[in-house]
Amino acid sequence: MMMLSCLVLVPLAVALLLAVGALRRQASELLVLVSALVTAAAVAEALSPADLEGPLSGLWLVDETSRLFLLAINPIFGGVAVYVWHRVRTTPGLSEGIGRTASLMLVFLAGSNAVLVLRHLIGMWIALELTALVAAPLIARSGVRASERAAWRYLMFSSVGLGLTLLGFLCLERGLTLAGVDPSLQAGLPLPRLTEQDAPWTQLGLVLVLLGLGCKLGLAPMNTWLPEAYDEAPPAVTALLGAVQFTVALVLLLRVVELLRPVHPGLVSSALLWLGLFSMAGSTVSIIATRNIKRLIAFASINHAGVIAIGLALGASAAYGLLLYVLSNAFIKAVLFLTAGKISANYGTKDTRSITGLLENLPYSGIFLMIGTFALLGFPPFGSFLGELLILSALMGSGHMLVFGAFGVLVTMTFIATGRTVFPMIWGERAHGQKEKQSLLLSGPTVVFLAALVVLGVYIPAPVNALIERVAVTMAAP
Amino acid sequence: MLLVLLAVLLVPFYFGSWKVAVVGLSAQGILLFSLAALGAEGQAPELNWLELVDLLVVRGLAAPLVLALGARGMEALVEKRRSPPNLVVWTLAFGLVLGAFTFAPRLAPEAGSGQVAVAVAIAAVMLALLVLSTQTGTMEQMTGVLRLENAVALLELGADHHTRVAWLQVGQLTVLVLTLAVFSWVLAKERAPEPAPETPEGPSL
Repeated sequence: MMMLSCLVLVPLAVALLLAVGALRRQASELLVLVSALVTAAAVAEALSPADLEGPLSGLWLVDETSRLFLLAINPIFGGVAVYVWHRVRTTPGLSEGIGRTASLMLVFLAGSNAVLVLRHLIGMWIALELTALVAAPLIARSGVRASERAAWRYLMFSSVGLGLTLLGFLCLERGLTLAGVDPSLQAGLPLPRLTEQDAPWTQLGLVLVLLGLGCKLGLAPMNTWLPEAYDEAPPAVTALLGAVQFTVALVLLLRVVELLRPVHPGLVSSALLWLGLFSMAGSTVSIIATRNIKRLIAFASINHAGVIAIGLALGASAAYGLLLYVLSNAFIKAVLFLTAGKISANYGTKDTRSITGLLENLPYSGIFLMIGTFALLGFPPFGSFLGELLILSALMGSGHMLVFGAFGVLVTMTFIATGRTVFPMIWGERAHGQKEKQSLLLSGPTVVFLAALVVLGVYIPAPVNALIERVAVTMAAP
Repeated sequence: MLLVLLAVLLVPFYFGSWKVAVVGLSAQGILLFSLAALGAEGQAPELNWLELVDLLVVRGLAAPLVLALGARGMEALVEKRRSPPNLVVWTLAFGLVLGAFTFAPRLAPEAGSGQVAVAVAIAAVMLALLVLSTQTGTMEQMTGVLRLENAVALLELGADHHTRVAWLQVGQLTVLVLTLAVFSWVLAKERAPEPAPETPEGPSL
């Protein structure tokens, strides 16, 4: 209970304090302090041996899935908090609105953690909505019309996507009520097979939930908000959206799939496969066409979401690989978006054709972009390589040869298009931008994220590996 | 009453004014409240105070008020951005309602008010998506989002929702209130004067 209070209530309480105007001068320091405390609580929770039982155990569910993802998102939030603290300390003019920003970021953190530890799917939905509502003001930059429009489009698509998700949950509840089953949708409670008569409600519910959560994850067809929002938001906020919010939305989808795969196995698989393939195809075309560094990473995120949907469709055979891929994806996005922000601030542009000679101008950012891109493209020794390999192997093993072929072609095209755009930025001749002395110490969060990516691909510490294996078993359960 | 609600859902498609859309939202909230208060299919109403606040105060009064206040000073702009009603939209709206009534028997095979309620809920969802896909102005898109929220509430009214624990109801209501607060912030940003074109962008986090 103590740990759970730290994960959700402490950030909320500090956010409230900041919102009423107290301690605003120390807002960035408080952000770092709270995120460190919450990360420590998440690590302690992840290493604790048994499920929490207590007076509120009907409300919370701290199982392997919660533990694994608490362990992933909280350090990322902590890294972003350190980045924000450093930006505020070194950039004149940023300290003005930091109280409000820190307050919203802490509510975002509390909501994200709540999604991971709540038992009821509608409770998780409420927490996810909360993160979307506080993210919209974070996307908008004062006086920048394009970012305000992007914030509105983000909010609109989030509201519609999550509205469809809630509608889906209501349909599921109806179907279960008709079948005489307990309709309270709780994670970890297995559902029986349904009769033909009850199936239409649950089928409709499942499709609506997949469409709605697909919108939040950037899956086709409702993903047009994503490139714009990721492009216009400040880099720290983009990192939070891409790494933290994406991951918690995915956990909600994992819970739904876990519940409904035994009820409608065919529908779950085929819907996720098609959503994944369409997302990969659409994003590949966009990666080829774009000349904007942040949009390029945003389209690559859509591509990754597609791979994840395909992995999720395959079930047991791809479960371990999928988890490695999801964890790597969170760290890759955090690295790339923070680095892209630094680069575009130095060059004064996001146009990839105007950004050259990164290794000379911004050596650390150049190296981070290079390593992050290799991880993004699924090169060894990163976790994304192993994850993608296992998903591909599961595709072959399950006999989906056409999907395997399409997957291979799309991944190759993405590789060529991304390399063609990014590699000249890193190794090209220096033409624009200012040479800047960078401190490795201040790039600490990015270095830690990169280290996590290598660890996921080379040697996963035994307790973490055991946790991933246990989650994979949960996902594979019939 | 369900058919009155259906009419209220359709009327804004036939008028080119955003004011009709906002009044329509208010009418939807009040009708939803009436449906909840009177009870369905001869059942005794089990309205609790949370539903009273949700349906009547928030959906029926606060939501339209937020939009109306948000549009102050930019009525002409809102009107200009609104896509005018046309034959294509009318046909689509009518077709979606027809489709909803055709599809409803697959979900609720027994003819009666339960089936009509499902049909109207499906129609409400489809019409909300029609608004969202045909309108480009912020205000209109907000009415589309709120229409979708109302459609969710309508489906919930037909379900055995009283079994839901109170904290979830409070959570859902809080989300709706916060959504309106953020809508109000978005409209305030839209009302603010355009920054001068030569104004340089400040640093960002």
